[in-house]
Formats: sequence, C-alpha cells, structure tokens
Amino acid sequence: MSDRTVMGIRACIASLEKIIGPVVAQSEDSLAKEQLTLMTRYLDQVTQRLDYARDYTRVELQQYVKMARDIVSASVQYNIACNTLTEVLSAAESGLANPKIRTRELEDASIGLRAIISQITRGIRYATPEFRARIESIVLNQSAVLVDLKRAWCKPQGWESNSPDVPDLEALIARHSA
Amino acid sequence: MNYIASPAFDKLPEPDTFYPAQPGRAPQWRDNPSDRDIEIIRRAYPVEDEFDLILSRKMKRRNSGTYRLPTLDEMSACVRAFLSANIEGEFSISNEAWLTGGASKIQFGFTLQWCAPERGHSVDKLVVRMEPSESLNATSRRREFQVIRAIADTVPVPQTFWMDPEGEWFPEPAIVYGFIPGTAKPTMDRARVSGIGTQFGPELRARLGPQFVRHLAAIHTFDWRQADLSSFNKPALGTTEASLWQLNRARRVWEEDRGEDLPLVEHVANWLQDNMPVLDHASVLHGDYRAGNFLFNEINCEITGWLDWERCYIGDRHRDLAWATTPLFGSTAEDGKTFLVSGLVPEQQFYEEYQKISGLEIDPQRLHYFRVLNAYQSMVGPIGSSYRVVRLGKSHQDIVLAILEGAAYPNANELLKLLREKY
Repeated sequence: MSDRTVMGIRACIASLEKIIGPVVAQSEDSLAKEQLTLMTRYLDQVTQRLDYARDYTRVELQQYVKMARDIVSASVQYNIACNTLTEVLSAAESGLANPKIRTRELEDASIGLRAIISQITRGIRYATPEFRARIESIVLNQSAVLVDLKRAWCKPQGWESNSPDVPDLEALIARHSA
Repeated sequence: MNYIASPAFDKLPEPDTFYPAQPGRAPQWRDNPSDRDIEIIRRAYPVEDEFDLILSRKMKRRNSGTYRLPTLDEMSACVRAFLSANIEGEFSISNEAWLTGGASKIQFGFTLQWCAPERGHSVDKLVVRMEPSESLNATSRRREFQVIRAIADTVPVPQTFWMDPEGEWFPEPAIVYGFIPGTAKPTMDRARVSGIGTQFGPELRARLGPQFVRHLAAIHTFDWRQADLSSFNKPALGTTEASLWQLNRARRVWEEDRGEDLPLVEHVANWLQDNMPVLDHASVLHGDYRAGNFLFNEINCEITGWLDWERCYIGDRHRDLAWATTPLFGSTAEDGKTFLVSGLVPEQQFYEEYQKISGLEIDPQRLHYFRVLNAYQSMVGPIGSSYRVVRLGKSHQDIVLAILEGAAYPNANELLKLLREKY
C-alpha cells in the first residue's frame, strides 16, 4: 500500500490556496491573510523534507554517538569515570544497530545523549583546564556537523537564501551515514 | 524536575544543577512548573528586578491553557473601559483593527476622538501594544513605556499616551502609543521580510544612513540619570553586572522554556560567563536596533520613528553595535562585496562615524563578546521559547514561531565562527 501522506499534504495546500485563500483575501483580516501564506509555505516545506525524516534522525543520532564516544575516550585518558554517559551511549549504539528500531526510538536515544552531554558540558567549567579544553573541543567540532544538518533541513525556509554555503541535505546525509 | 546524577563528576554546585528537557508528547514539568521549580530557577539566574517579575509571571501562568486572541469587539470593549478610566470627558473610538508585523507582540489600532489635555479636540491614531500570554521575548510594557517617554526628545519615537503595566484593563500588560506614519522597507523591496537584508538602494542609503548612525550615537549618549527609568536596574561601572544580568536572562529563559538540550548552548553559556566585559560607560540601549525597527518617509527620506524598544536596558553600547552589524540584518552593496550595516552604511564607515559623533570608543574585543551573546540569545529564543509557546498554544502566532526555529541555525553557524576567533 503506497503512502499518500505527502500527496495528502499537497491537497491541503491546494485547498488553502485555491478555496480558502480567495475568501480570506477578500476579508480585511490581515492576520488571517498573513498566517494563511505562512501555513501553505510551511506545509510545502514539510513535503520537501518528509522523505528524509528517518534518515535525518538516524544521522543526527550518529553524530551524538560520535560526540559521546569521543568524550568517553577523553574521560578514560584523563582517568575520569563516566558511567552514566557510557550506559546511555551503549543504549544508543544498540538502537542504531537495530534495523527494526522505530524513528521515535531513534529520537529518544538522541534525547538521552543530548541530555547527559549537555549536563557534562555545563559542569565542565569546574574541571581541570586541560580536560575542559578537550571536552569543549569535542563539543564544538561535533556541533558544527549538527548545525549544518539543521541548516540543511531548514534551507527551504529561506533564512539563508543569500548564502552559498548552506549544505545540501541529501549530500550531508549520504556523507555522514554510517 | 529530574536531576541527572552523574557519578562522572562531582555533584554540580548550585546553580548548575541540570534539569534535562523532556521532549515528546507526554507532559513535561516545564509545562506546569511548581512554585519550587520557579524559585530554583529564579535563584540560579539573578536578573534585573523587572525581568524577574515578568519571567516569574510567565511561569506562574504557564498552565493556564491555550491562548485565544480577543475578538475585535472584546478588544474594543477593553479599550473603551480603559479610556473611561483614564480620560476626562467624552470620547469615541473607531477604525479598530488588528495590526500585523512582529513575531512576539499583538498590536491593535484605533482612532480616538477626544479632548486632549493642552490640545483640545483631537483625533489621534493610536496603537495598543501587548504580548500574547507567552511570546518569543517576554518583556515589560512598563520599561518600554518609560524608555520611549524618556528618549522622546533625543530620537523620533511614537508618542506615549498610557500604560496598563499589570494587565488590569487589557488581557495582558499593555501600552498605548501614537501611530507613526511611514514604512519599514522601501517600496521596491516589499517582498522581503522587514529587517532581513533590506535593499534600500544608493539614494535612500545616502539619506537614511547618516540618520541611522546619528540616532544610535544619540541614544547611547543620552543622559538617563535625569529620566524616570525606575523599572531599570542601573549597573555599576567597573563591574560585569550589566553583562551578567543579560546572560542570566537568556540562561533563565533557556532553563524555563526549552524542549531539548543542546551541548552547544551550554558551551556558549560557559564561554560568555568566563569572558564578561567590565562596563566602562552605561548607555541606554535600544536592544533591537536595526532596519525593520524604524519607519521612514519615502518621499523626504526622514526617519519618522524608532519602534520595538522592548529589549531595551542600561548597559554596554557594544551590545547594540554588535546587533546592528549582525550579518543577517545587513546586505551587500551593488559592488557585490561591501557589507552594509542594516543595508545602509558600509561597516567600517559605520564604526568611524559612530565613534566620531558619540565620542565613545569601540572596543573590538567587547564587540566580539556581544556578537557571541547576541547569537546565543538568537538561539535561545527561536529554539527554546518558540518550542514552549507553540507546544502549549500560547500565542496568536504559533505558526510564525514554529517557522522561526529555522532562524536559529544561521545564528548557530555564526556562533561557531565567532568562537573560533581569538581575541
């Protein structure tokens, strides 16, 4: 049975533009007119991105797994225990290795890693300068990839329409997929 | 609130206890914070008194349900009741309408016929400005009213009439000010979002650019000590108070609103805390000084008024300078390479003229600091606050805020570049 979700959303857009839009255009409600335009644009962006949703979620998790692995490595090197991070990382790695895992579960694994890594990052101010510098370097470097993923995802919104260096989503996913 | 106990590090000393986000459709404590939750966050991030009130109010009302925009009739009734309490004599209102524009405020326009003090019979076009129950930027109408009134003889601003700082008459705290004629963007650039890469063209630039610089210098050299700015905390010179209040405000908002944890945001907060500049000169700051927030007359090319003073505070001028020169708000000249600050003035020229007119120096290191702070704030709002507002249906513009998340990532990209620069 073929998925008709994107087709259905496009039908919503058509309805908004061709049936509802003309009626709203005749009204004096400028807020309604503005929001109708925003809605159709947003739904159009969703149709452009829906096919990539699972791959995006997987690649994002892979980046957080990389970040976590590097932090664990650094912790071992500096002889600092990180049991909680190791546990959360292990669960995330199992999730990635499971071909049947649902997209929602991939997201939850990302959420778990983000939480513990964020907590570590917040508290790293109290660590030794060398260890702190190491962890911060890992967070910054890996965050650059994650920011690129988000920029690529949001590209259809046009925030960076004058910027030539916004990455292509498909190319990014291909490059960072394991 | 869940606290992650990590044996990896020593227990984090207050205020750094970490309360992870709980994304997902299930209820989250941030949707319905207890008094204890609110108090823990208040103590962790001391801010200016007025912002403490505003943010605490936001949190206490968080579980009050979704927002409904008042109908025109309801709003008209509010206006009538408010005016009855504030005007002597007969009056009438007409031409009531919701105004568009802006991601965080609601504006209602109307025409008032009345007997104005010192003017007699008058017909004034007025605007009621307020927030929905939660917005992208939780700010104070009292502060906005005070600063616009204080700065009125220094730069063109709307005329302020009344305020309802506690939301006694209106659904939310509100100010009433005069409508200013003019446009935010030139006719030839209508299709673009106001304030983002506006193309003014050489002729308009030549006329508006000098005003843009002159007005900023005037705001920063305004003697606020003589003005009624009672809702503003005054930072001490030679301290980092001003910077800390702003950093804490953003950190507190992140703590109160976010739906996801981001290691990059935590890293930047640390950097900002470690590098706070000492205040050398306390200026009134507009807080959102850029194209899109002034109106101008397209015929005589005069700026008719500066709007959106909600993010104003007293602090370091470099904050406004860094904001005004943000790449997102600028554009490139016809030569394809010269960056124009807010689409108006080449960057180097902007700095030179500002320093000459104001007599205040620009310190590249502090400029850099505030670029990082601005980029940080520009992530906290679109990623953190917009999530909570849309999730709980707290505004009349949820769709705008849902889309606004995308604006955070060019800022994040800029942030990464800034953090790699060495000073």
